[in-house]
Amino acid sequence: MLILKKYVKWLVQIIDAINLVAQWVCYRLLEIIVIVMQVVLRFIFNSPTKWSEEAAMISLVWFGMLAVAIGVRRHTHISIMFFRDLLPPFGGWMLDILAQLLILTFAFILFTNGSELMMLAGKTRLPASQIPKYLLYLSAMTGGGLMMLNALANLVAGPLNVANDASLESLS
Amino acid sequence: MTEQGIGIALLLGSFLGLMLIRVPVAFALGISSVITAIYLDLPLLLIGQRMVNGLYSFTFLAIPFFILVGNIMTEGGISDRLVKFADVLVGRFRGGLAQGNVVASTFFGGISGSSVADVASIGSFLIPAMKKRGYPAEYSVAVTVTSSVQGVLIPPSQNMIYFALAAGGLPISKLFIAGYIPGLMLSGSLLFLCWLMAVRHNHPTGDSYGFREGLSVLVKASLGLFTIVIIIGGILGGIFTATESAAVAVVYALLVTIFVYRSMDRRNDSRIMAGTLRTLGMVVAIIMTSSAFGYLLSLLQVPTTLANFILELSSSPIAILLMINLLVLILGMLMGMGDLILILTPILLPIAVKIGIDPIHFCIIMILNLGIGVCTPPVGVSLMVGCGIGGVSIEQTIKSLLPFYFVMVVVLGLVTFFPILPLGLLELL
Repeated sequence: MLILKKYVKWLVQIIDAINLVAQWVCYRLLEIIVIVMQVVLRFIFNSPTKWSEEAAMISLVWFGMLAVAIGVRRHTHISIMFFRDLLPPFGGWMLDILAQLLILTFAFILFTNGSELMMLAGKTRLPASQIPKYLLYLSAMTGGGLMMLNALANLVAGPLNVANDASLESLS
Repeated sequence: MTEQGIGIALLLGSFLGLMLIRVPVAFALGISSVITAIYLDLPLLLIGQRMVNGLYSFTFLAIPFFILVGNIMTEGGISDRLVKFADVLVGRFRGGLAQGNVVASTFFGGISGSSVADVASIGSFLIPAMKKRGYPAEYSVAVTVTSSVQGVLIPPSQNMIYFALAAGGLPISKLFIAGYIPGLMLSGSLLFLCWLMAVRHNHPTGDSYGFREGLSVLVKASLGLFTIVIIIGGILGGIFTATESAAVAVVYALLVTIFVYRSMDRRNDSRIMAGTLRTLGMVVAIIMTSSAFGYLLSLLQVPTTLANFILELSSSPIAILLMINLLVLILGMLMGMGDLILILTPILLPIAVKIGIDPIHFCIIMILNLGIGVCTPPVGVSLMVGCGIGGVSIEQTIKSLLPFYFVMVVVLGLVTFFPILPLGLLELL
């Protein structure tokens, strides 16, 4: 039992480290998007360059997929806690578990979908930049994978739910 | 029941059910889409593809830039300069600090386009300052919270971009222009209300500034306010698209905060990045899954079915608009603004168009409506943040908020039934 606990702890530490790497990647992607868009602007007055738009958009999709996954571990996605909080603690705990299991299922679907779409995309490339199109779907696979890991980490090591601060930062 | 009927019930039912049992909204959208797709025998791949393609869009590219500009300016100390500038403009009048609050929010809305950010940053200066001058805490919170609603109407506003995304490509520049008059109307009426309250409750006048001092405050604030000129001027002048202008504004905001305000350091920098990552993570999740959800909605012809149902109930546009307003207002009390725009637009917009309402007009109605929702319990995000800063309970604040609700609902009514208000500027230009 003790050994199992140790492994779980390692596992979660590894997952959290992966999240930090993903966060680092996100920051760099954000910078890339800003820089690439400046390139668009430098050329916009003579010849609009579609390739940099494509590069910025694909960076954004990658950024987005990773950010969504990180959000799972950090409990920043908005949920309605009103009814959960009405339940007795055990009921609330059950719902917390259920929510993570559903996220895990969804992440698994995203992961498999991403890999299938990559196969379908094959050797096609984006029209202007010639970036291979499978990179677009690889982001779904990567994001889905990290989401799965994060839901798993939440389930085995908690926290299952962070005090309702997250809802204060909803998108308005 | 037909296959279509069961499909609709399954899609909406599972979404609502999952959301109520605490599954994050974005995942509730995604999972209900997957369940429905399985029932309808659609290839699941279609859902995955919709989700990725929902993110792969040039319009969406504007969102991270707007969030970044807002974060850079807020962390970089634009708020205190705006507060001071507003104080120079209206501080000398009765209830000056309350009026300054409204004016500062109007400016700030032009920079951040988010009402929660507005409450958090302007409020953290002004709520304590108002309390110190002898305004009741609840009143200070009420003014801050309601005046933040202009932030979502006065461009640039991320919420309008969400609407454009969900509506499948409306010109953002037109949405932006349409927001000006309703936003300024709202701030005008709030200013008047503050003055009225000040006279009735004998609120203090604020500071008055000398000419030189006022000028130096103006210069400092105008450097920040120039961000608005870049974004709006760039778009209206046809020089940039919304996305490009926001990208330029990011660089401008960085330059001003680093070299002029000298307020950037490593700590600020990592807070800006972390804040942007967090907000975008939430937004992206919902944009992604709601594009799969929206695809199924239109596949199942939900908007048409609902439109026919509503048109059977009543054919008068006024009655239908009232119903829609009421529905959005109630939902707005329960959920966040951005999520609701993304979920409701594909359902409600076709109905509005069918009864002859301009999509741009509809966007403004919906956003103002949801803005009111953000300051009402139980899930009024701005209200919660404001009460947190002011150290008062929501129940206490509600009483002070009542006159403000009244004003906002009157403005909403005017904007709903006089399309000239949002659309007038567009016709002029």
